[in-house]
Amino acid sequence: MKTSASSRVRVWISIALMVAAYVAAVYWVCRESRAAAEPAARLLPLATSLAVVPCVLVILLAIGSLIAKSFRYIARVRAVRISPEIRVTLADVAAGGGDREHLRELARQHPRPVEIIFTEFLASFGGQINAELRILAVELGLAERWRKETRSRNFLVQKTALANLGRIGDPIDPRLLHHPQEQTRVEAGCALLSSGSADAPAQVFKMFPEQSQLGRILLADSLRPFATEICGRFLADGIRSADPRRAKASLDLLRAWERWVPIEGFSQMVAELDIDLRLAALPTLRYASTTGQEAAQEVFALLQFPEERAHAAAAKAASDLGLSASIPLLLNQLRTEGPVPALAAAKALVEMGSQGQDLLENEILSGPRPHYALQALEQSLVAGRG
Amino acid sequence: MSSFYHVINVILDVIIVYAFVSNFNYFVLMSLGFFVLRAQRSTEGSVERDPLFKSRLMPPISILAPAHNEALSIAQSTRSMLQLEYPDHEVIVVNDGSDDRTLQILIEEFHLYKSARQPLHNLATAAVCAVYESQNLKLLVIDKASGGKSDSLNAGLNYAGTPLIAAVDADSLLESNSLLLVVRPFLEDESTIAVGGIIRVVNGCTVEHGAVTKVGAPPSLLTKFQVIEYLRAFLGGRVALSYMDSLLLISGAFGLFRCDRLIEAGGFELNSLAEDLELVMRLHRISRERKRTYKIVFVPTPVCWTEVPDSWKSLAIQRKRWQRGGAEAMWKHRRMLFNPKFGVVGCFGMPYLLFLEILGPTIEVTGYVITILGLLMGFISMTTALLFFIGSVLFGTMISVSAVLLEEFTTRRYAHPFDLASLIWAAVLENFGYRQTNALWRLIGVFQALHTKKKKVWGKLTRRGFAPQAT
Repeated sequence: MKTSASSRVRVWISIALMVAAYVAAVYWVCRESRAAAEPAARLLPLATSLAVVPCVLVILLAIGSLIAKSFRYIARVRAVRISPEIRVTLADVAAGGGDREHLRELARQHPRPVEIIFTEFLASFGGQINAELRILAVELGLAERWRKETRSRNFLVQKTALANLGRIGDPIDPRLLHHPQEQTRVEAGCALLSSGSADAPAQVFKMFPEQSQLGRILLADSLRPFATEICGRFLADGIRSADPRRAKASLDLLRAWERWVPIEGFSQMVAELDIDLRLAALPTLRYASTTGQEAAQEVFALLQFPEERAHAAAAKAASDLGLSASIPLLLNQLRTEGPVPALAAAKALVEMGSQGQDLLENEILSGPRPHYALQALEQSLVAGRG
Repeated sequence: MSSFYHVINVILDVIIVYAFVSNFNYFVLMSLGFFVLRAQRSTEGSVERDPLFKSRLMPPISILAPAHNEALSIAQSTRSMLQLEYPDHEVIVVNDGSDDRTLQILIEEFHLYKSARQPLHNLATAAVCAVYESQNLKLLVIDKASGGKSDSLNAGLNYAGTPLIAAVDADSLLESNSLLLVVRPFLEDESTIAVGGIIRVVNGCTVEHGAVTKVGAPPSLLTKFQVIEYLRAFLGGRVALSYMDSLLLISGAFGLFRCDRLIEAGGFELNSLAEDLELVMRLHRISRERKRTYKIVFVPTPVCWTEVPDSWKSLAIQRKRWQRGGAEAMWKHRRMLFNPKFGVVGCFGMPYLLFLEILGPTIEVTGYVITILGLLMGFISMTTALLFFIGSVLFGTMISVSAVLLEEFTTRRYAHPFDLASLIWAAVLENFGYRQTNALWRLIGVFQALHTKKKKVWGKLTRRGFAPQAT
């Protein structure tokens, strides 16, 4: 996700310090080598020092990283070798038998591979095994480590720790929901939901509108199991909100869930919003409207909206709802509007069954714009055959 | 005679001052690249695949893949594009007057039928002969008269009905999660209008079923040199320039754009040899002139694998073309240079491109010529000449090894220590002959920009295809 203001400042401070050290080193080497200069190349000492200083630095870094890489490679090979033993021991212990002491010994000797395999188990198993894993996480000191790691500056470490704490039902620090970094907020929200805390849906729904589209996608997925509760308690207020961001976020939730969660008076609520929000609400009409008639009113209103940009989405909604009464409007749209709404109208007519398809065939034969009708019919035929 | 020596001294001073400025600049960019990559590494790599993959909130994407005589690899690369992990994407292959079996292979392989599909936009292009669609895959093939790469991209753009457009080379391979990664800046910030991903060298890697299964350093030294160049350009240069909001190049091999902004800008420039660079410059110009808040960014995690030339002849053609294209694009948008109206792009990005990338080879070659002349005419001693050369080699080595280390400290795609060692070794060897030859090619490219008439071309290189190449 985006680099936060604080990490930008850290980056620039680091750069400033490195540049200062670099300039000082270049100056020192340049001063020391000045005696060797000759008139034809007065600035040669400067050039040499410019090359020598970073080169020495880079060579040192290269040697260091080669050594580090070799160590990492060896560690990886060792982890691959020890993994089967860890898996078998952990599976036995989690199933209620096995050698607990041996598992503790493995966790002491190979903490990283044990943590990785433990995390895999935690994510894969439920029921009794999961309950046993929760106890083991505390016994092996993993829960304590994860609590510390929620304060890590490395997001991957922080994220894994939060997710694992959520899985073992450990309480999540609520301050993390207001962390300056969005990814941490989102991960904390997801962990809070999976921890089973009673007020988690309310807390996460409250923070939802402040997140970017990416954050919303991730949170919407975690909020899905709580859809009924959220629709019943919060969503109507969210849509009616004077804050367009909050209203949009509420509609995004409905779109993301794609579940039938009727909200009383949904279409009337939507009709009072501005046009961008109304367009965002169109795909949700079939999930959230209590009656088809109520949804149809909004679609008709948008099909006749003065701005053409509303018409393509309205045509799609008309076909989703199977509104055969919209056929005259769609036909007019096909004949008179730009390529995008015209094509959308043709596609909607295809979906209207034989009545719409007959009209399209007539359009191909004698209409003013046969090509969109032909394209829509052809795609429908091919899709039917496929 | 003394005035001649004076002039030579001044030129040498200029070259050394230039070396200082460029050295300092590369040092800052590399350091910045390092810190930014470190800061981004954990977040960029933490993509949540499942929720993104199944979400209805993800914007649909059309992938435009222009193809000209790609019979060798078109089936595999198209299949690889269709198999990308993304909830809603369509592939539009544009066959640009191929003389080989590119179109026939596509028709047979994907069971295409001749479609009545109509364009949604009206960018001017060479005549479209036919449009084909797949019965059950989201694949559209546009067969058109030859018009060059930009013309093909514009033809594809005309048929695209999605809010986001990915421009990719038909002979490249995208990693399976690359669309999910490259779309992130658009999801994070609504003002994002273009995003570039990293291009990596596929030579030396193992490719199976259209996917890179094992990353390795290429066997030949020439391709290793190019690996280093790509790392230097992407991990050092573009990360830092993107961070400073002055990114001027999103590689034509893999970039994602907002469709409405592309259409508004008039699509890709015909006749340009660097249509990718020119487009980004134009997007900057239009956005700045219309006083819009916008973002053009580079993300180092979505990977596009490309095959690089493995012969000196092909490489020479490619480098001359790139340099010529860069110089032409710079000339076209020269009004932005040092113009505060264009903000950091005009005051830093454009001068950086001009002085370090376009004029750099001229100054470097001048330095070599004067040193050799000085030696022959006796006004430069052998010691000084050697010092010049050693300084230049050390400087080049520093930049190249830094690029390899940047890869090692951040993305770590080369798993085996031997690969790292061989790349570091190549980063040193690169300075003995390759770098000088490259500077000469680029200098020729600049001269070609000044003297040769423009024409529509496909920068085609000899490809081996994606048969397993690992050794």
